[in-house]
Amino acid sequence: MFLTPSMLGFAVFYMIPFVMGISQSLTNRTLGGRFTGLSNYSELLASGSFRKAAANTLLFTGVSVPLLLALSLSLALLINKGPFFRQGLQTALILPLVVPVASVVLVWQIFFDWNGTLNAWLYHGGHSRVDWLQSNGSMGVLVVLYLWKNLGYNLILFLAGLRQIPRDYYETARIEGAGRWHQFSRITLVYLTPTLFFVVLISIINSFKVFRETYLLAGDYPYDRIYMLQHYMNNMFAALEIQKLTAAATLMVLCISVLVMALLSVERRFRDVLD
Amino acid sequence: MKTTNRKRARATAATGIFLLFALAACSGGGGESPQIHTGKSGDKGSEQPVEAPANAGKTTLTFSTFFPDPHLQELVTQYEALHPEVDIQLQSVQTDDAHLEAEMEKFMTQTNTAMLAGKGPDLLVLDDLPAASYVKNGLLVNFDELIAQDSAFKREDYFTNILDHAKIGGGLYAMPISFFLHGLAGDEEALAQAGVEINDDSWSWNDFAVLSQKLVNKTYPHVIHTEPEYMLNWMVSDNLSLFVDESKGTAKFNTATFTGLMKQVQKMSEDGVIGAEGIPYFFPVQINSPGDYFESLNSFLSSNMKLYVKPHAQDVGAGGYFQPYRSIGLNQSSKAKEQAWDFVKFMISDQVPVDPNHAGFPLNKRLYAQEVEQLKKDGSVPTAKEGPLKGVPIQVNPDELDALENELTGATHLVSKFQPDQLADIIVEQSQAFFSGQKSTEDVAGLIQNKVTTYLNE
Repeated sequence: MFLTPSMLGFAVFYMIPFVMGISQSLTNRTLGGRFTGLSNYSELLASGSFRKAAANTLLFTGVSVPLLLALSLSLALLINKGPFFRQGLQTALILPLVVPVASVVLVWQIFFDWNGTLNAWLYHGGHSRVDWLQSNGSMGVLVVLYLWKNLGYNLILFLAGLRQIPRDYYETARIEGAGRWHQFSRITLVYLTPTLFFVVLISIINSFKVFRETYLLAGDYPYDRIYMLQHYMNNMFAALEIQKLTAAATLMVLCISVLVMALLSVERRFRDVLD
Repeated sequence: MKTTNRKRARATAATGIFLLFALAACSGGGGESPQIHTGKSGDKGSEQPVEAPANAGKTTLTFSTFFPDPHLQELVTQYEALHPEVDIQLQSVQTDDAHLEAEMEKFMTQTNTAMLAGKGPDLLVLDDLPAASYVKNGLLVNFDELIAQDSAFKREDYFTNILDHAKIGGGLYAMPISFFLHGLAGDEEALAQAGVEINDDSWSWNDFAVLSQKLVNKTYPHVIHTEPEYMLNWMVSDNLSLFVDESKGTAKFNTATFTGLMKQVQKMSEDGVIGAEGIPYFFPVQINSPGDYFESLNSFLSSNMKLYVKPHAQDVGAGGYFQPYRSIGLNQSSKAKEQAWDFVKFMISDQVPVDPNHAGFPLNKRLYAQEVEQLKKDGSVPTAKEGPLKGVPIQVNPDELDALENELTGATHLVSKFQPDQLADIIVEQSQAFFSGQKSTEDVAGLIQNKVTTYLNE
């Protein structure tokens, strides 16, 4: 009953458009289109650029999410340890969350451009220049950007998770002679797992959102290493190829929901074990 | 000598920019059609058509354009005066230079969405819209079919070469009220002195490259006023089939052929064939109106300038280049197609005369003839005070008008494709780093190959 307003909002703004999108992806044109079955999907899978975009997106998620997790967890542990780090680091890491992306991207652009700051340093240091955004290193630039942007958020989540672990557990463990590694792997990691699942989920979803930064940095036809799924969709939208666009979106949603469901089922199983 | 050269170059640049603004504002240089038939509109003259409420029994047409356009407004007012039962709502976007790009993008997205949803205006100016995509989605009416069904429509009243070649996707979906001419303004006498004969019916950019070797550093230091990256793009379009196979989705830019082409263009640049400073034999020009024909050719301050057809891509065939201006599209989901078609016919008719300096050659031949008559009667063309001619009027030479008519009836190649030209954008943007000496041929060729492949396989 009390869910009705939010359900209504969800339906109007997400569910109905999405279902309409799926039905679009099965026709041949927007106005007065005919049902063509899965032909848009087969065309989509035949497109080399779509496959490249999917592979790039997967690669990016596969590399950046574990890196982000490792980095934010170790920082959280460090901060959790003493007040010394807490003040300065926390603010510095959370700042990227509130700074508008567009202004930051401008700075990054100046930094990584062919005639930018980084190359000027390299040149003065006697090295040859690298066109960062137009080479296979461009993915690295994106990973750094993604880490910088999302570190703070994950950090907050991890810190909250860490504080919920009762101190007594550690004390008991210490009395019983458990080493640091043992404490970390048997107490911290185990009791942090519910938080971990959530952080992984958010990180994956955020990794799909790196398109915004990429687009602002490198435009609609970037170097093919950083050509993401959303580049493909964006270009299809500009070309009014709504059918291909909706087909690509449907496939992407399918992949994400499979991933999320797998994660959630693992979490459920884990919780059962814990109880 | 050098300083005067530079001054001239600056002056030409200034006219160029001035022209650009005139175009951007969508109002022709010179007066705004002063000879309007006020007699016909009578007491209706003061009526504000845009704000008029749509009464019952009235047919309402919505007509959308990005830039506010006084000429279109005039056409609407005149048509409404003749047809009181029709109400035409002309919609445009008021903006300034600072917000132009953002507003343009917004306008495009909104119009695209409305069109795809089957809403959208009845009529729309397609110049700034991806009309080729509209055609692919079946959103526009094919004027060829309307013309075939309409016995009152006389094709011979119009520049039939434009009607035949302004097609997108196999049909006339964008009716150009008027058009511009693209060509090269060249110094005829200096070319003759250098012993170069130009067959501009059929020359290609390859031919241009060959004969430019004979011209460089003679009467003039340079052969053409442009930048190397544009020359490279022209040369590529000349041999497009060598580099791009659209059906297979393959590109061949990482080949010796392409790097060879880049080096050839660079050599042209080093030899002085291409130069943006000083006076060359040829200037790429866009001729906007009969009056502009005289002003543009004389603005280069050489008395022997002639308008040549731009070199062709090899597999394109003879004929000049034109760019449609004020192309009108008729929405496939319009509820008043007949009325809209009637209004389109009115817009391309000769009922509202225009000044010879009004931007765009009219599609209607009789309207064009009126402009030519006016020019002959006036005997001279006024020029812009800020331009290189400093407002000194130019004599109208009837022989040159004949030459112009030949160019107009011989124009068969559409410049705008009604969609963004990604290939040209990529080539021009990436090759700059090579021509400025910052990257090697291989690096640039690789990057072009990389991006074009992505584009072709989408």
